[in-house]
Amino acid sequence: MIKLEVKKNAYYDSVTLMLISKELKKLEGVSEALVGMGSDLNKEIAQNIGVATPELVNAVSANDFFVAVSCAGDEEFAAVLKKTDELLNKKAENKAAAYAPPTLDGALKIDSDLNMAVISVPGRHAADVAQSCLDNGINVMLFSDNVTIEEEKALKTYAYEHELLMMGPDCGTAIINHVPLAFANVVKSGDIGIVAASGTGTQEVSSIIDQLGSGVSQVIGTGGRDLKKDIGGLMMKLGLDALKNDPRTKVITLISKPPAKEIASEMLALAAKTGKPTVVCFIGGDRREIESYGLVAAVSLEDAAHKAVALSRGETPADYTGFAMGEGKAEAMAKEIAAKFAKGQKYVRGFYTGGTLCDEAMKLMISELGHIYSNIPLNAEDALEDPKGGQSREHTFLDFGDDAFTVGRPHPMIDPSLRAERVMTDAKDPSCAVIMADCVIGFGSHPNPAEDLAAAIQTAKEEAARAGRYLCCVCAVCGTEGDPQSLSRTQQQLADAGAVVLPSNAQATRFVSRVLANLRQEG
Amino acid sequence: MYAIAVCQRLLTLSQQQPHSGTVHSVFDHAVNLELGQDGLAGLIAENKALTPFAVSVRTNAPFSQTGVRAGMAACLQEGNLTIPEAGIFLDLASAKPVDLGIDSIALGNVAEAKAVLARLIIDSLRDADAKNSLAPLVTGAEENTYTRFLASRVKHLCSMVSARDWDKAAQAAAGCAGCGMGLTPSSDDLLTGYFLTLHLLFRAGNQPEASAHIHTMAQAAAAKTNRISGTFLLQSGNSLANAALYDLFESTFSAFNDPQARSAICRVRAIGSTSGADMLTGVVLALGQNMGESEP
Repeated sequence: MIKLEVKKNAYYDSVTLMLISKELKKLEGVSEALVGMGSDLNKEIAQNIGVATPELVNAVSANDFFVAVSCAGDEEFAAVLKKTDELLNKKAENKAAAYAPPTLDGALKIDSDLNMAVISVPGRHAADVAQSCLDNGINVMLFSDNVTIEEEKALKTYAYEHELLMMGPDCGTAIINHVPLAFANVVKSGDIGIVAASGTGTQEVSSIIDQLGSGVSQVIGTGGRDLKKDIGGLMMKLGLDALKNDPRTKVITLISKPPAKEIASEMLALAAKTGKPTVVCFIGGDRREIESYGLVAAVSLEDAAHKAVALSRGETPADYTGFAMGEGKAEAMAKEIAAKFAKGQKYVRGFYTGGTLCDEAMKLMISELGHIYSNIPLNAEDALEDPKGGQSREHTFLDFGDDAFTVGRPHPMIDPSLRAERVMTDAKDPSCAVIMADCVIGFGSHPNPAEDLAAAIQTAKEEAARAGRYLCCVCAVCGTEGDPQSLSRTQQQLADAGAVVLPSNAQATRFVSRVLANLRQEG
Repeated sequence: MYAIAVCQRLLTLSQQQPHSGTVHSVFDHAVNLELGQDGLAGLIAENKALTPFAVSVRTNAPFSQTGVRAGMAACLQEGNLTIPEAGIFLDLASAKPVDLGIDSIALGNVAEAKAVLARLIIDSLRDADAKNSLAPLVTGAEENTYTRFLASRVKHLCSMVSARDWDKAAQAAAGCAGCGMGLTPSSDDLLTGYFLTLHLLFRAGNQPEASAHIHTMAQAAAAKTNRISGTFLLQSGNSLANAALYDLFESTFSAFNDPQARSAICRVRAIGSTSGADMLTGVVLALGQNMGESEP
């Protein structure tokens, strides 16, 4: 049955039209769908693919929007209309409901008590907008990047002096008074406060805290440069002070890449003075220095979550370096996988949408692998010259959220398709044994980030098998059951595609290390 | 909301005589105005490439959330653009004027530009959306519904242009227009890139009379598509490019500047869903033709 829906003189943006087209083709009972403006050629294409009606040919003009489908019956067409209206109206409803005053003054006229602004404007204007908010006594989460270090210093100095938060720039996640901002997960309320200079690192820790049955009081982002000497950790200081004075916060967790030495010392001293049990995860940092301040050092993001939860429950924290599935099962699986590789398969490829997760995986594996080539290398000599266009080299880990991959396209947590393509490309490399990938869900992320990745993994494994090889794909999902995408559903999609799914980035990394160790024994 | 940069043509128009009209359509990043000209005029968000007869506007919210609606009265006069009902008053005269006419681009080593630019674009298009864009026409990626339909038509257009059979070329251009899913159907974007590149190549070949023929082809194509897409086609026929394409041409045809060219390609790619990729596909198709421009 061929059916047609026409909206006269109606214009919708290309993104909406693409989305409608994609969604209609997924509906049960719809064998073909064409969406577009009623130009002669689009009508001709409709005829070619068998979805043209006399009305489309004779009464629809180039300025009319049409949906033409071949479907099983009236019931299926009703579903098409419902889905189309849903997608078109969803946007209209969103607009109506979310009236956004065009200026800060306009927003303050609507509600003079506003106390938090999330700023996402081109970097060169971000500092001005942020300063305007601070001038009005409004805390700032600055999502924008490309803000100069001088601007950041000036904004944070002003904010610090006025006891206002200036989270960012390039601050990807925060949860303030249980309100998630930007990329954040649905995490239970609890008594663990987090202050962090790391986006996906924070998501990993807060999500695992939720998975362990505990919750967070506040999650304060500082922006990745806060602990650099130029900035001096101004927001980390303010964040620590806020958590110290927050009666709901019982345990503090501090997350960052290793800061400059003098800044680290200052932050650790301040953390010690809060009087609250504090877990410090300086990813790859000096454990002894942290412990010398009476603080609890974490060996991974996952370990930070476990230790924070233990402290929150009044238990003694211990290093967590095991497997949720159990040591024996992990070892047996690793051994079984290692035995399947063909001769010459020996390298790991890590393809990440979260920069901190990529960094953590490299730090956990570098002593074993020796060299890991990357666009965010641990050692300068291991930098890939052309990470996007070029080929992987031996052990290669890529952060797809790095500038090299995001020019002219959304962040890979929003559009993970480029990473999926890379999975398929590297699967053709006869020396590639293992592909590791993260999958970050939650607010702000793609509605189903596992979809593309699962399809790529399935195809990649099938192609490798046809070539007489075995490809091991290991994934970890960062998120919670309460996230819109659902942790378990996301994990199941990846497992169904043939991936080994571990509950954390650290466990995924440890598992791959086991596989490689067994592979060396085999070889 | 205020004006940051303005197409020189729109500024000049605003300083001549009053033009009254209505808001034609409103999107998150653009507002189109019907002011009685051949094509539409417009407002465009600051982070998008400035288009001909448009003003680049700094605003803290998408246009669709600022109260402006289709059908509202709009006026262009004395260097100002106003939409009173939506409280929009833009002082065009205080904005940076931008010449988007590619006829002003000085031509350098065109043969080198042709060779290098085509390679750069094709490299960039290899990761374009091959299922929905027209990039497979030049990258060799697997054909899709639209490329399958258009391939022979585009080939015919190129043949007629090469043969300088302008009547058939105009018919062929019309025969390519309006094909694709987007608001600006993909083939229109392709033609926009194609026509603009032809302008440069014919000028390099010292054949300025061809400009009128390109204009005619663009008119024929514009008649076959919707008003918004047709506007961009008409503008390309008049040698007017969006700012990203203009920068691309300037960074290659004038004196080749590799980083600027790559940056401009990225900015063109960022236009629309597949529009940028489709425009670049049109550029590559034109670059593959010899228009009599001098060889090095």
